[in-house]
Parts: sequence; structure tokens; C-alpha cells
Amino acid sequence: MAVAVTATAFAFAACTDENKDNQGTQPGDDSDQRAAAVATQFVDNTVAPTYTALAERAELLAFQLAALKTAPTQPGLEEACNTFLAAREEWEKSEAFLFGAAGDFGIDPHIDSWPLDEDAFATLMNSPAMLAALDAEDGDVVAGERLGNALLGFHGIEYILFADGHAKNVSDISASQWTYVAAVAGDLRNRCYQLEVGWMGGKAPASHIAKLDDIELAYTVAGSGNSYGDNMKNAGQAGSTYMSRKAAVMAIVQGCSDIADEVGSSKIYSAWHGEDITYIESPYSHMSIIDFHNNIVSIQNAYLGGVEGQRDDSKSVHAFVKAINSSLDARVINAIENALAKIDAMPAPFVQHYADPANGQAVEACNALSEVLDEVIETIRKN
Amino acid sequence: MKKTFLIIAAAMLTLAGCKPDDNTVTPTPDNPAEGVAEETYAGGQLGTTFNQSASAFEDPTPAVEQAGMVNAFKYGEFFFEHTMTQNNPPFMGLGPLYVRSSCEACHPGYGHGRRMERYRADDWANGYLLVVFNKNTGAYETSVAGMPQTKAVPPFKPSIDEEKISIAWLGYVDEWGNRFPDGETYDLIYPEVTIPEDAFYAPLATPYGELAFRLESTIGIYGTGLLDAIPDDSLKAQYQKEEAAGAQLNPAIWAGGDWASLYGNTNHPKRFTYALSRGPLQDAAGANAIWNIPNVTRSDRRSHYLSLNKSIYATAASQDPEVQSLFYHYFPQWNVSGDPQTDIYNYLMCDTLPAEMTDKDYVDFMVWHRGLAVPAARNLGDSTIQRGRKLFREMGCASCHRPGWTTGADNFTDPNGFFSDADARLPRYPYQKIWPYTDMVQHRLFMVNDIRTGWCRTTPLWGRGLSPICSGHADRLHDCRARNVIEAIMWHGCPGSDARWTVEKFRKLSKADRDAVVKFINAI
Repeated sequence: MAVAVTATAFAFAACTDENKDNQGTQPGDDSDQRAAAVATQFVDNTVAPTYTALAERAELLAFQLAALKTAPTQPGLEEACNTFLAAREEWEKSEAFLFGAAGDFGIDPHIDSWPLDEDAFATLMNSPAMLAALDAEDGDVVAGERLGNALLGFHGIEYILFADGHAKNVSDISASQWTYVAAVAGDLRNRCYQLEVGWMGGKAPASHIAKLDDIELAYTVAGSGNSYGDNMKNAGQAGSTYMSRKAAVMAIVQGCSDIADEVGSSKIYSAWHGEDITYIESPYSHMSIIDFHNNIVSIQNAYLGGVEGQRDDSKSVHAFVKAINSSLDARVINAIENALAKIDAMPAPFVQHYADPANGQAVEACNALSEVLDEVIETIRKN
Repeated sequence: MKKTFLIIAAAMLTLAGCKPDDNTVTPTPDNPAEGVAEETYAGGQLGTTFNQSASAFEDPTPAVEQAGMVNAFKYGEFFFEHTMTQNNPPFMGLGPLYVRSSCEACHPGYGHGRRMERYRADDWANGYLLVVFNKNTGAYETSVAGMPQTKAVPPFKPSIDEEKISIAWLGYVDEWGNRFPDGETYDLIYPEVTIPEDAFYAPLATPYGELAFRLESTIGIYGTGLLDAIPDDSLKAQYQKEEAAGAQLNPAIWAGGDWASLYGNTNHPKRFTYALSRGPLQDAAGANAIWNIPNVTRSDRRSHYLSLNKSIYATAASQDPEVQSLFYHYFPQWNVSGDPQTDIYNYLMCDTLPAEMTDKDYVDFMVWHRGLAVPAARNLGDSTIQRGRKLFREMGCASCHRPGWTTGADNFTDPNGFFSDADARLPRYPYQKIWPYTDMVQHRLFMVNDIRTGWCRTTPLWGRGLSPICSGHADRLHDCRARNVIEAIMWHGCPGSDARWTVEKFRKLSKADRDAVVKFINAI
């Protein structure tokens, strides 16, 4: 009976709280204005610079690999590997905002699926007709339309360029493999344009917009035709999918919580706890731990109001939360720093040290970060 | 005459709403706050998440968390999200025919599929399954699968060449000229699917001229564990109530006051899929789809999903010289007799294939499947939403989109016998008040190019208002022909439709009241 009474009391109390959804702030009040500023700062100074850099680096990678396809050299390969890692860094720094264009257009699984399907890859290498199609001028489009996610994206390129954490010997890469990797890099570039244009709309480079129009890749929010950036900036107004400005801020924090959870519960935990190497992402370049680190940096950039050099503390989620509950905000800051520290303490490469106890501490730190971010969402929802 | 019956039915339902019997009522409390308090927890205390952002359909339920199953849930989630491969563990499958390479490709953001201009298995968010059937009898074409495959692992060839499929979106003008009495207009479109005869790989079992083609989209997965927990006798009571109210029910499911058919060899009613082809969740939806969509074998499913009459595809492939010439190259372990025709046929018909998914991974997958939470209703206290909620009930929408159910003890069963009854490895949802907005019964809307057989289980409305955020679109109905809530409602108003009488009422509402109904539907 005591349990039942408690449950009833809980239900009543909880239900009372739930009615506060989006009623704590009203359009035009101070909190609502601050939420709008947070959303705008996030779009313009976290998302936009990250996707701009990603698009630039993916474009350079596609350019370099197209050149290497016809004239492969070892220095050229090593340069391309560096470009790959630079592009990869920006992608991982974007994973706190996998919502919006990345999710709606399926770009995440399109460019970041793993493992590579090695049987399908072997079949492709023995398919003259498909290789000829990939070698054609529109090979990037053919790759995106015909290869399927298990042969596309970063990990397909990584598989060709890297072995055991280093650039391969250029003589180990066949002509067919160059054809494949150049086409896949072209598709990767297109999809990075889609992320950039998707969020920035008309502020993205005209050539990138033209490319997407040419290959008929969508980049606006369904129904409204708005960019994802404007959709968030216009939260609470007609035409936006966010029903309030506060909902936009909650979406930003939810994105952070989701990636913290994924790094802890999936990316590290699954290989560490299961002692199963097959769950490891980025095994060929030995970049797994760098990827995890950059995922947390993406949370940092989203929470602190911009990428490094473009931060405005006054328009950050950090300041927004601090105004409601300063100790909660302090716990978030500490949790971010702790997650970075614990990830940095993981012995590299992960693929060779996946069972190390230090990995368990990183899992705990990421999970703690996710949990405190969930508290933030709940706090914003009720205020 | 039918209209009269239905109005009486509506009155009965409203009256019944005053009774304190959870599974026979549609409560409309006088004090709106009372309804808000309870209904906000759409999935009950054990099945609701308050996430309202892009990952709102992806959260584990409180039941999963309380049972300490979060890690299993995360492992299971891998198999839903990941692209399957031919031989790279642990994500193996795809052979030799498949519908999609990953589950999420069909369920964007874990939600409803998106309206498509073309049919390509690799197009993200394409949740369409092709439906190929005899237009005279409604029977599925047996030379292809019930969910026909347009992808194949070499050297095999797909059942249907997807590049030859066309989807034309045609305009439809209803008898009201797509116009409300106050002058506001709306657009209606519907798909016309064409698959030429030469797109089919194996010989057709039905004369081509007798075939018809349709599309059926995926729906969201969240909350299926809660729907599985609705007691069988509560479902039965719902059928009895609707029958007593004069509603026409599918005679293949219900006739003469009792079930006309049950699920397989069980004593459980059918409750899942538009066609009500599935019963208990442990042999429905995802448990089935992980096998027959990316074609992943497991210990209790060790055969290939092929044409409905398996031997039709197996014979065609085994006699195909191109397949014969390459079969041993791709499948050297199947060189048993030295005769490729024999070995191909035996491979395709084999029901003792190795398991590609381990039992542990399958358990985790089902923890995930049964463990997906329903998003809480949003802003139910808003006065406009309250107005919409009231109108929704008054117009009779709630007759089929039944708001609330109460789950039972949730001693779930598994027709396959893989899980024991109420297996402790899976989450449970005992005695939860839930708000799916479905009666779990099939009705007919008589739309142009309607769903095969015309009977369609009422789709749950919970969470759907978050589709633009979670799935990137607002498309509704079985083939995504409705691009927003208004279009979905108006497709319910075709002549002869079971919901015609409610749409007639909806049409007569003021613009403000119509908007309130839409706002309510998007809030639940």
C-alpha cells in the first residue's frame, strides 16, 4: 500500500510539473529573448563554422584524390591522409548536432557507416562496368546512388588510404581502388555541402548550392523550404518545426546528451565491455580516441556558445543554464572537462587497447556527462 | 442508415466515457486539468520519455532503465541503426535477396517513412514496401515476396528491377472541390505505381494484366511494447463494442461475436501491421523484419526470405546461366554436387542455414524493440489544444482513434518459443494507462488506389506531431499520400468511408476550430 500511495503521489506531482512545458517562458520575456539569442549564436557560431570547415576539407580531399587517381605519389597520398583526418576532425566535432540536416537526409549513415562491407568491396573491385561508371565524370553521383552505405563515406576512404594507423604504401593501392576512393570522396564532399547548405541556406557558397541543385540533393526543411539554421532561429514562429525558442535550446542540449551517451554507452562501452574488436569505429587509421575527444569538443562548442575563437559566453547555453541554476551549470562544465580528460587518458590506439580499464573510466565520465545534460533539459523544460 | 448507426455508436461511446472502466471508455473529464495530468504520460509511467527533440522516438523506457537493461538496449540499437554487411560481424545478413540494408533506412528517426517520388531501396527514409497482388482476388503475387525485394547479393538478381518502377503522384479532387465551406482549400494527391512486366525476374504466377501495385509505408516503432501489453480480452471487448454499435468489421478477423481467426497456432488475436497479419510482438514487427528486410538469419530463422512460393525464385535463379557461372565463385562452400543448378536451388531452399545473428544479439535487439518509449504529449494544458481535444472526441474521431487503454499484467508470449512467457530478459509494462489513439481494429476509408483489401488497422497517433523534428517530414497515411494533418483528415472523407460522418462534421467547423483539432493531433 505504501508503494501505491507513493506512486500515486509521484504521478500527481509529476503530472503537475509536466504542464509547465513551454509555459515558463512567454514570447517576448527576458528568458525567451535569451533563448532566441542562444539559438542564433549556436547556428551562426557553432554549426556554421563547423560545417563550413567540413565542406572545405571534404572538397580538398575530393580534389586531392581525383588527382592521385591519375598520378599517385607517396607524398600526395600522405597529404590526402592529413586532409582526411582534418575533415574527419570537423565531422566528429559536428556530432552534437546530428539533428536537422544530418538526420533528416540520412547523411550520418551515408558518410559514417561502419564496418565496410568487405565482400561487397571485393565484388566491386571485380565489376568492370561499375568501376567504369565510378570513373566517369559523374562518378560521385554514381557512388552516392549505387554503392550503398556500407561502401560509402569516411570509412570506405579510410580503408583505402590507411593501414595500421599510417598512410599505406602508395604501390599497395590499385587503379581500381583509386577509382573507387575518388568517387566516394566526391560523394562525401557532396554530402558535406548538403550539411553546410542545409544549415546556412543562402549564406553558403553559391558554388556549393549550385552543385546540390545540379545533382538534385535536397537541403531545406520539408514543408517550409527554410534552411535548418533559419528553422531554429525562427523557433516558436509559424513555419518553424520548433514550437518554442525554449524547445530549440532543449534540442541543442539533447543533441549534446545524445552524443555523450553514444560515445560512452556505444562507441567505447561496446568494444570495451564486450571485449569485441568488431564494434570499433575508425580501426584502420587508429583515430578512434581522437574521434571520441572531438565528439566531446562538439558538446563544448555547442554548450559554450561557439567554436573556439567565435564564442560569446553571453549567448551560450552555459549562460542560459547558469541563470536558472548555477550549480547545475558548474556540474556540466566539470563533466565536459572530466570526459575530455578521461578520454585523453585512454591508451592509444583503441583498437589495440580496447580492454584497458582506463576505458571504463571514460565510459563513466561520458555517461555522467550525458546524465547531467539530461538534468539540464529537464530544468529548462520546467522553467 | 449506417450513419445513424454510427451516430448512435458515438453517443454510446460518449456515454461509456462516464464509466470508470479503463478499457471500455474514452474519458472526457469535466476538469481539463485532470485529463492533462494523465494523458501527458502517453506511454504511462513506465513507457514515456519527455524528450521532445530529434531523438524523441529513440529513448529507452523507464521500464528498461528500472530493469537495468540500458546496456542491452544500446547493443540492440546497433542492429537497428547499422548497415548490414554480407560477412562483417556482427552486422551480417543481406542474403541473397533483401529489401533494405538497414532498418533505420525505412524508419527515419525511428518514425514513419517519407513520401517518395521514386522507389529506390537505398534512398534514405524510403519506408515503402511494394505490394504486388491480384486485383481481382486481393491475393499476393507468389513469384515475389510479400515484401518484394529489389536488391540482391551477387551473383543473384533482385525479384524486381527497381529502376523500372515508376511512382506518379496524381491530383485528386474530392466531392467538395477540395474546399471547406469557409473557402479555405487543400490539395490531395495519391500514388499510381507502375511496374512493367519485364521488371520481374521470375515468371509471374498471375497473368500480368491481373496484377495491381501499391505502396505501404513503415510506421514508427516506439511504443510497440506497450501495445503488446494490451490484454487480449480488452481487444476482444473493443471488437464487441464496435460490433454492437453497428460498425462493419473485417470478417476475416471478427465475425458473429467472436474472432474469425487468431494468430498462427496461438490463441492470441492479431494486433500489428495495417493488414493485421501479426499477433504477439515477439513474432511481429521488428522480430520479423530483422529477418526479412536485411535478411538476417538467426537460430530460430535459418532460411532465406524469398518469393512467397519459394521454389519459383529458386528455380528461376538456379536455371539462370549467369548465376550458374558465378555461383561457386561467390559461394564456394556450396559446391556440393558440382552441378550449379542443383546447388543453387538447394542453397536457396535451405532451412538449416548458419545463424548470422547470435542469440545474445537477438535478445538485445528485442530489449531495444520492446523498450522504445513514447514521447510525452506536449502542452496539453494549452487552451487551444484543449479545444481541439474536446472537438476530436465530440466529432467521433475517437471512435476509431481510441484515446486510452490500460495494459494488463503483460505476461507477453512468443509464438516462436524463443522467449518464455513474461521472459525476464525483456522489459514489461504492467497496468499502465497509455494513450496511443488507436482502437487496434481495421476500418475502411475507400480511397482511390486504396490499400490492398481496403481494410487498414487504425494507426496510432501518439508521437506523430514530432515527425517533422524526428523524421524530417509530416507525411501520413499508409502510402504517405497526406503531407499534413488536414490532408490526412480529408482522405478519411471519401464516399463510403467508415469515417465519413466525422469528416462531414470537421468540414463544418470554423477555421479556428479546425486549426485547434490539428494542433491537438500534433500535440499528442
